[in-house]
Amino acid sequence: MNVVNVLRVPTLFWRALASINLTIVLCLLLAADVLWGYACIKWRTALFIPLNDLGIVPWIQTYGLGNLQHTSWFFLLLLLLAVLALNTASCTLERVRHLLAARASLPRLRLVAKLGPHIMHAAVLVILVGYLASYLYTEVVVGTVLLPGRSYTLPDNAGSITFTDFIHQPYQGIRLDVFQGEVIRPQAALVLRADGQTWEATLGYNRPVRLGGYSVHLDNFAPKKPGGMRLNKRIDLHIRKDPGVVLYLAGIAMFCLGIGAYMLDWRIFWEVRK
Amino acid sequence: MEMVMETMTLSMLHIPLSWVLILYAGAFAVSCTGWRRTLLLLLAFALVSNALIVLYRYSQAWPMLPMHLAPVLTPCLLVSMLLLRSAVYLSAEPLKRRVEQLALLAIIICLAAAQLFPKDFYLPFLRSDSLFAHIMLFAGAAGRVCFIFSLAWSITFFTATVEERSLCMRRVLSWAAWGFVLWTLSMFSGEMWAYLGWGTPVIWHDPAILLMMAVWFIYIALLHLHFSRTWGLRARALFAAAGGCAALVLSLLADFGPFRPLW
Repeated sequence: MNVVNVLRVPTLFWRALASINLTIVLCLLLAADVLWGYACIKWRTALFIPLNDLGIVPWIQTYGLGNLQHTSWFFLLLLLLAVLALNTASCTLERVRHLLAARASLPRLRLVAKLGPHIMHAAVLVILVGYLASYLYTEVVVGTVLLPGRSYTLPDNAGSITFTDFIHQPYQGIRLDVFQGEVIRPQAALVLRADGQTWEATLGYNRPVRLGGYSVHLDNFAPKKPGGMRLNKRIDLHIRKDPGVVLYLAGIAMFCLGIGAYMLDWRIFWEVRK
Repeated sequence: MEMVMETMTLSMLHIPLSWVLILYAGAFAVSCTGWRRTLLLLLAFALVSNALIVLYRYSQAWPMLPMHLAPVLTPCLLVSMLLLRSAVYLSAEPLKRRVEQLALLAIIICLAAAQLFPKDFYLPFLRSDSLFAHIMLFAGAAGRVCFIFSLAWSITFFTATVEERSLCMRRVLSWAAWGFVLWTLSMFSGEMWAYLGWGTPVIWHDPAILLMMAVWFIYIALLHLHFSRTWGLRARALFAAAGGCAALVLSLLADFGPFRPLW
């Protein structure tokens, strides 16, 4: 009898882990926790800014553990997200198993449509793994400044970037007084070299350049206003090698696919069922 | 001359927010009476004024994103929806009238808060020249509209007859699901914008993403609660009403600044 009871423990644990009620409780706890986080970041923004560039482990060692009154919510967030990931994985596996067992009785389109929520769940897991990889393994090159004609070589000789020219696009309209004559769409002409090949690229805000596994982002630039006794031409680069980016972008695409399938189920088959 | 003309046109377009607020308050008062045509007229007038404010702010900022436009854009989209579906919402049917009144009340609160807590913090303005930034704004506002309708139906549930209650819950779920889809689109667009601009999908300078996440989690909980059906109708409606109120406040909080009284 005792042996039977002992054997039932993993089954009960699995069921509890796959429970939708657990999902609801976790989501409410996560909502409350991120609100707490919102307040903490509002009050102590400077503590969290390094998280953009440092990995999660150095950030915890440098800032996280020393300021627990402001950073505890972050540790709780990690814990809750980990439990949510386990809950989502077990719930999805359980339901997909049942769905696939009944696949013979379902038309193919209906089966795809019914898989929609599970695709969304799997996408959440992919996104979370992507974030984890990103915060654990991202390599950041901070504060790289280039003047015209100067080059920067990426770590491990992954490639080189030469800043050739800054393309001025000053604001010509009359609507924004504060931007009169200022550069509003900065664009830097670059020459990139990697694997023995050379090509030209244009770097701008929201227009990064990819080179040798690194993404190069424009952080700042000068001059803000062309002409006159202004600062020399200069671009500040933010260079990162983020192994998680492919995962979370794939996760976002998967989630959108899942939503599409779910809406198909809801709009077509739900109507029929009704 | 061309410059003067352009300035004049833009100045004429600049309709104060308080005027739009008064029009919506008038529409709310009329909605409590049976004057449907007057209501339709007032709403149309308020919508045009509201849309002109949105257009004005957009024309000032384009191609960048007009910052903190959500509290002004949301009423515009909501009233467009009311007027587009006027056969459904602007009807004399008591249940739908209550939903319409609650939706109007929500936008009055939204606009009043925008008046009293204005925010003019334009730090990432140059970086907002991205399609994803604009998608984030519009999808977020449209999602908020759906959440307001979901909230209005959940409150209406408590005044509905027993026969009407299942209809109310269907509407709560339907609007919440559409809101969730649009909110997710807005959140992902924000992450894409952040990735392209800063190289990371979460920027820790600005905690606004955490408020978006809070709303997202509240609606995930609500949708799972509906699908699991472990709670009764009344409890689910109560959750939808409480969660909807919280989500409305949280979804707008990032767009509000310090208290600045009008007087």
